[in-house]
Amino acid sequence: MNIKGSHEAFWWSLFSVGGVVSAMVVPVLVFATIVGPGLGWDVFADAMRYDRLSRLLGNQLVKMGLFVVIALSLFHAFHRIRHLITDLHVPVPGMPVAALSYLLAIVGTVVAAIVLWLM
Amino acid sequence: MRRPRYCMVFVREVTAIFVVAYVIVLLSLVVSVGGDPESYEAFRDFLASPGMLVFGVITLLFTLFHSVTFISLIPRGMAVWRNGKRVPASTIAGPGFVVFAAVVAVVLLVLLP
Amino acid sequence: MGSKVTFEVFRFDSETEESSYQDFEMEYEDEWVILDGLNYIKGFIDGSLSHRWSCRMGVCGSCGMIVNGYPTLTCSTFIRDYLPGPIRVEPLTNFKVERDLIVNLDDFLRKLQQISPWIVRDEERAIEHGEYLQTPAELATFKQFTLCINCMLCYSACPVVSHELNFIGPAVLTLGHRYNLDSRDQGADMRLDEMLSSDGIWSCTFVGECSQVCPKHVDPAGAIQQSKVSGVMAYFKSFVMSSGSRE
Repeated sequence: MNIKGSHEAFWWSLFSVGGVVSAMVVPVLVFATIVGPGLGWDVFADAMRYDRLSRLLGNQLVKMGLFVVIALSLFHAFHRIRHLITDLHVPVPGMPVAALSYLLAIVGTVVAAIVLWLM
Repeated sequence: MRRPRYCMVFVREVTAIFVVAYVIVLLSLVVSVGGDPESYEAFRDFLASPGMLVFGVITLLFTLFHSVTFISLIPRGMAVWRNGKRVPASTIAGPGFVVFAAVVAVVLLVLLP
Repeated sequence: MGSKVTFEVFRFDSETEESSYQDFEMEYEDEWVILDGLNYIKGFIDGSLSHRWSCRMGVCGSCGMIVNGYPTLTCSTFIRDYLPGPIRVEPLTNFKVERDLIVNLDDFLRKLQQISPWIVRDEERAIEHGEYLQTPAELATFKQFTLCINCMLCYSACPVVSHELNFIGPAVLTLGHRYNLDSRDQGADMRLDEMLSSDGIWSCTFVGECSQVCPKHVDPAGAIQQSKVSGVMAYFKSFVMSSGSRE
């Protein structure tokens, strides 16, 4: 089959899988890392101790999990931001907006990999 | 009459900005854990500041809105047929929310002492 | 008779390019729909008013208009639900107005043809071999999408149509999906070429307003999301196929 023009199907598949993953994981992470400790809840403050987190982040499984969540969330979010820009009637052509959006998602993913494994 | 729904979709799209913002915070957190304990404590104090708490609460609300809208819209894109009848939306979205709860539980289990 | 209501009707003259709203006050009866009001105006107050209608029973799909800002099938909507009025009646948005309440359908009809909304066969079966049989379960998978009456309310409601004029749009994409699901059809690949093009399903951001205004509960928004899932499958399958043929 000849799919005219584009790889939209590929980006949309990342958008939808990323949508599910970020829906499941992001709120609890926001709560555990910012809201819980910010409200002064001891359990969360305790969980954020340096030794605990550095041990946790030393675990390859945790790293892999974080990487997948971050990468997919970024592809999800930048696909939405691309359409948000179109919906706001920002007077720019669609092609560069799409390209720039996905480029930012790719850059973010690469940065995440560097941060998780090289730093 | 049509405005409220357009507005809801707009909010749905804006949730993406908060997802990106949180990813930046999360990556900064990972970076600071990779550094020495003192710099990490400084970052922790920053995270606990009132401004960041406000950001956290807003981000939490937006990302929860994303969770609820995304999971409840999944059945619309999936036509599952059983015995010549379409499986009702709740039969698909329901387990979606169960998985959501399970994921939250697992993350807390891993994260909390 | 007895109660009075006022219609604020959009008027447009394509020769002078002038548009305005004209008020018509009339006595109406309780069982009148908006379309009855318009027909009364044309018959008894101002014969120059132009509007499209035919069956007045929600089947032909000709009398879609904007009533108080909302895309509405005027034959299926009672005046009594809009009281006390005034009731503003305008032509469908996102279309070029020809005259008064009549919009130009050329673009819509072009898009409709583009999707081949009929059963496509690789090879037509000879008549003596009989009809193409289908089980009730096979019919059920697409029946909902056959209920579309081409009233174009969904085009009027769609924010994507309003800023992407070439977007194939809800009703036609749904019809494409309907034939792709039909067990008698073999034209899905050809149709997907159009549906997956840059004017096709990927422009849809699932606002869902099309399904909201649909008088037949066709759920075009759902159909388009389902097409996206099929599109993703077709996309990844095309890689498997092409890497397979290279070996």
